[in-house]
Amino acid sequence: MSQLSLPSATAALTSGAWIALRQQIEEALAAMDTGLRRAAAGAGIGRHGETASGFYAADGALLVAGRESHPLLLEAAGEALAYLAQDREEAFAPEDVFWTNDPHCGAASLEDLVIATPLLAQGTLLGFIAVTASHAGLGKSSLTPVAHLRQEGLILPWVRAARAGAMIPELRNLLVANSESPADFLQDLSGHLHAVHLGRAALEDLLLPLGSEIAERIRERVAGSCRRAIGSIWQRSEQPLFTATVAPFSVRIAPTEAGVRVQVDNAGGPCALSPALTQAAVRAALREVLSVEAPSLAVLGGLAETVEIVVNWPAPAARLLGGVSRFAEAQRVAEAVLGGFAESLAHLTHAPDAGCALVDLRGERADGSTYHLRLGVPGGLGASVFGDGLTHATAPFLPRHLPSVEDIERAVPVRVLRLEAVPDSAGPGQYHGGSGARLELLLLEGRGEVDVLLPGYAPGARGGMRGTPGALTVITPEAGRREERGPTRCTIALRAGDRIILESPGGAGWGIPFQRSILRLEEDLQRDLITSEHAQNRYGLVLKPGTREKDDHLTYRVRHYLLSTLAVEDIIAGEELLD
Amino acid sequence: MRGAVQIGIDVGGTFTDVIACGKDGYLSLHKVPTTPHDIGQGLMAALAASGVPIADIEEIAHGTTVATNALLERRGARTGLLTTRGFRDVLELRDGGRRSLRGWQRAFNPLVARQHCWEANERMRGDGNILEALQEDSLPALVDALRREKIAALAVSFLHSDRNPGHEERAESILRHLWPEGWIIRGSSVCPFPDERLRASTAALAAFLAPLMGRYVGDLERALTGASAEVRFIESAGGSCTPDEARRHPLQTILSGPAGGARAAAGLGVLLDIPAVLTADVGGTSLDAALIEDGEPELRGDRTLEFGLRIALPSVAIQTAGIGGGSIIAVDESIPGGLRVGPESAGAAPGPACFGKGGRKPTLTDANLLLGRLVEDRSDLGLPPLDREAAERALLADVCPSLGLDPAGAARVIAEVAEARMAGFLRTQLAARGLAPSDATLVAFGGAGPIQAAAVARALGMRRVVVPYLASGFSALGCILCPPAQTAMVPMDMPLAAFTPTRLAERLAAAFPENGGGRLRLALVIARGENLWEDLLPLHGQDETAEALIRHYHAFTERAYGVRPATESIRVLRLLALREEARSQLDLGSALEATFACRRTEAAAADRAPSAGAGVRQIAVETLEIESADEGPVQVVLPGASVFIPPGVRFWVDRWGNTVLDTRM
Repeated sequence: MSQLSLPSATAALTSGAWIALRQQIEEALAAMDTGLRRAAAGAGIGRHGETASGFYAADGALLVAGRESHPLLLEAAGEALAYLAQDREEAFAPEDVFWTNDPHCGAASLEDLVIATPLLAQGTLLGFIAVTASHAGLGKSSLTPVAHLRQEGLILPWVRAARAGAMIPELRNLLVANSESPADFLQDLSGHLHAVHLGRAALEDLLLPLGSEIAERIRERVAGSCRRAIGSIWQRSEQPLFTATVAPFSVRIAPTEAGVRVQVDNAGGPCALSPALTQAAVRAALREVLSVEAPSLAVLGGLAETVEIVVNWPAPAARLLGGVSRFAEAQRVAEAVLGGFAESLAHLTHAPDAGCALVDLRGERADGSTYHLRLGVPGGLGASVFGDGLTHATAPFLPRHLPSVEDIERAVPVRVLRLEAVPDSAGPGQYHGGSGARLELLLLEGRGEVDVLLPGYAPGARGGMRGTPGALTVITPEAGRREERGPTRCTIALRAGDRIILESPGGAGWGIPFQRSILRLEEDLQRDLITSEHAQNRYGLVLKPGTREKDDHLTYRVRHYLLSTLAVEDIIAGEELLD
Repeated sequence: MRGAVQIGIDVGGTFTDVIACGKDGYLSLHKVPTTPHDIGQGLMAALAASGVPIADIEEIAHGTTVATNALLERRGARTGLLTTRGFRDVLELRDGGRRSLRGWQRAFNPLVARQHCWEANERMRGDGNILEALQEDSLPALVDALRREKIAALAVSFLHSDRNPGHEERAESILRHLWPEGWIIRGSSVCPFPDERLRASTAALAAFLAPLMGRYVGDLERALTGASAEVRFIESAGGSCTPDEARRHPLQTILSGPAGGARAAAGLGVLLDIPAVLTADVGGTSLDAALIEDGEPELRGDRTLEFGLRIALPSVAIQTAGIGGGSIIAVDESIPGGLRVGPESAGAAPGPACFGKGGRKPTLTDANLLLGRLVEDRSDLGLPPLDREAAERALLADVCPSLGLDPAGAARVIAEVAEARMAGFLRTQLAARGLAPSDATLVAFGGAGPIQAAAVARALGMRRVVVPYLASGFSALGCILCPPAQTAMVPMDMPLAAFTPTRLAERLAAAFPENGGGRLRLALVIARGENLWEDLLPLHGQDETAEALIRHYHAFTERAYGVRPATESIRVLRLLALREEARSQLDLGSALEATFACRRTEAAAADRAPSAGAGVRQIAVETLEIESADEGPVQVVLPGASVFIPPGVRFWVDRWGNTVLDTRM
């Protein structure tokens, strides 16, 4: 039995006791994520780590989160639990287990199964422990929009999956029968349930001795922390309203008495992103900002009490984005929220990240056997007031890592011709974004089909410039060369000998490029991350003709002239100004 | 002629510990402050502090941090990389992961700068057949570039060289001829496994460290010139190697010190017949935890040493959290009462405020001192007493105003937070192996481990804690216990169902061509489906069948993960093998028993009486009646450390000097 020096159930949590309790809950939740990721056979959980574990209040508000949890899945589970709490007529019983994957019940997408169990103290519902995991194959996870959600897979509204700890076998069989790879799915489901049981045991151990009001005390604590962090942010800002646009989404962020109000609009017409997932994306972005102000808020709730989110479009009735596409769109909503803060409070956030180019390759070998490979080519991340962004790194909502070249070549009939950083792809700035990556594939035999989702560009911040958008080049012996630029989705048929070149986008820059230190620019040139032309056109670094040696006099004059004559808005408005 | 004293040295972040063991079996502990700027000088000072004449030393077993520090401070060689055309950015691009889930992600500086990465015109197919022959005539130009850029060491790592190292070997051979002054490390020699990123990182780090380690080993040999002592370096996997082997395989020493601690804890586990030991080695900077079942420290085959640097390395499975006695207490101003303990550490210099060496920031040690959990007198270490007032001043300046508490109250909160963090971290280690806290015994050592051990065990629900007599130098003692060993990782890449004793014998013959006998420790690195995690499956002999191994593996996965993976999805990636030389070793039980008995006799002669420090009883462990239970609160004073036993916890001392705590209330 764990022992914490909490005085009694009803007393307020003292600082030391609260921090100690929080750390133990946090570790227990972290162990749930880690255990599940180690248990899984599927790539979504075992390779990309798409899981989230949290302790939620009885109404679904997040109280404490696993520190490695997928940010969007974590918030989306809260949305889903709110549905569960509302719709229950029957009382919860100890060791009951419920699950859903229904986006209309707040779940992120069909492959993201939320499994929850109530935590009861002498019959009183303290809250829920919920673990979400991405079971690839439970849904199709397609990269293109679908007319009806059921085309994506089996929809499960909240259903009781276990009574008193005993799994209902018919339900399990129903899911297994509808998955793409039943054996792997069954294993992953077992691991998923095991993680939930482990979490419940640990949290019962920690919380039940503290009485039935402990969840309320925790809730007061985390809401208070959130409120103070939000208040502190607005105290430092000279602006009463933050706005930003990451196409097609725009956000308006303003303080309220309770905390903050975020309004999200969509300029791209009818939106296939559900309001619930949009709200989850906004909360995930706010958590990122708040955790800079107060690091513990990275794993604490409190947003339910302090944040009002208005999504200005109705729930989509028909066309819905496929699973992964929903995450890509939700990421853009989050980037818009971050962008809003970036312009006013530099220390809190960074220029937008570029996102991942997603590839779904299916095909048939010459011997008739089939293969399927899903991979992501991560783009560059945004720069910040503290320095350059990271090259080739996953976006928080799309943790799709690139398998090793050797893994790819040994699994499917393609040859990887190159995998390299893309020079000049990073958004210029006083600090530049991370570079995107270029992956070139050659189909060796048979036929194939590839779905590609290419992100657009990431806009710069504080005078920094955008990075290059995602790009795709298809080279076939018959049709020659065809190029696409992001944002776009496309499906391409391939034959042996065809080549595709994928470029992930570059991260956005921060600050005016002409203020980048000459020393750093020379390093960039030495590392071949920027070309001489780019150094001259974007940064005003003039080289002596035919050399890589800088012309000090001309460089000074050009940079001084540009800085004194161009407004920041001009720089942001058009890169052609500089050419 | 060789002397008679065995020396174990562990260079930690704060102290360098020396254990000397004479032929009579008595152990003595000595501690000197670590000199981070010159580890070699510190090591010689430590030897001098031991009072053992160099001529009397038979063997020095050395847990070194030279490689670790060189990596942390980027003080290795100027390194280059030669790789396959099209893949120059193999180090820069990593696997596309992030440093953390949230926030701005700082740009990554790989060990080898991009301008020092060159491409070779060559290509292998995935099956190891040659697609494009190595263009050898481009290599002289490369050598010009290496000299122009003053490169000292070069990693050569080509695609698919795990299947066919021919091109790498040819390039190495030509370059050795053209560039004799440089160090060359081949990817396929340090990591003959799939994943070009792992191979290139491993080769790059080995190249980065090789010249430095070579110099260090040379300096040490020179300093010991004339001595007959055999010097051995502790390897990450818990064996030890010769200076020449350390020079050739510098990576093997990167987790040298903690491996010694795990080895000593394993020895203690066998001595006390404890089936599952969880170690808590808490020094000034970090908490190192290792799980030891049936007397064997768990092993692993790869390590992520820092962001973007995952390498293939057989090592004891030690997990580290940034919390130790020197962990700095930071107030989180955004939350009333919020504070963090670590991961920043006051280190050896300036150290905690109470060390009186100029440290002003409050640390966990300062809090422990104010709570009466530490012995102020450090004369046994040749150090001045701890400064209570300095500790109070540090807390008053940095922590008390924010918490609204007096120094004693703030110290209690700090200790509570630190213990919760330690408990949470240890809970995760147990959960990863599917063990309940009540299944394992906590063995706490290091300077700070015994202070927090009882509280941590109670928070976890662990029933028993053992603090060894020489807790503050336990890792150094472990160094003496690490036998000379050869370590090998051999690719297997087969379904577990196809594993046979014959195949094992073939791989072992390839790994250890000179069959020198000795004890073999074997484990299989297992992977399942598309999961990136790898599990270690220990082999209990060379004749285990596939059926038995599948049964063992299923038992493990059911216990740890709650799953029973399909047999056809289980693959053996590699064999991890340690061949430990059979030679007479220190008998841990006899040495501890003899040492403790001797110290008890000395203590009885000195007639040491219990004293009260800051209200808590202090008892020298040597004065306690063997197996006679008592109850806290009390400080049990050990050589160079003390155990804090909270109220209500029963404890006794056994004949080996271990303080055993029963934490059940």
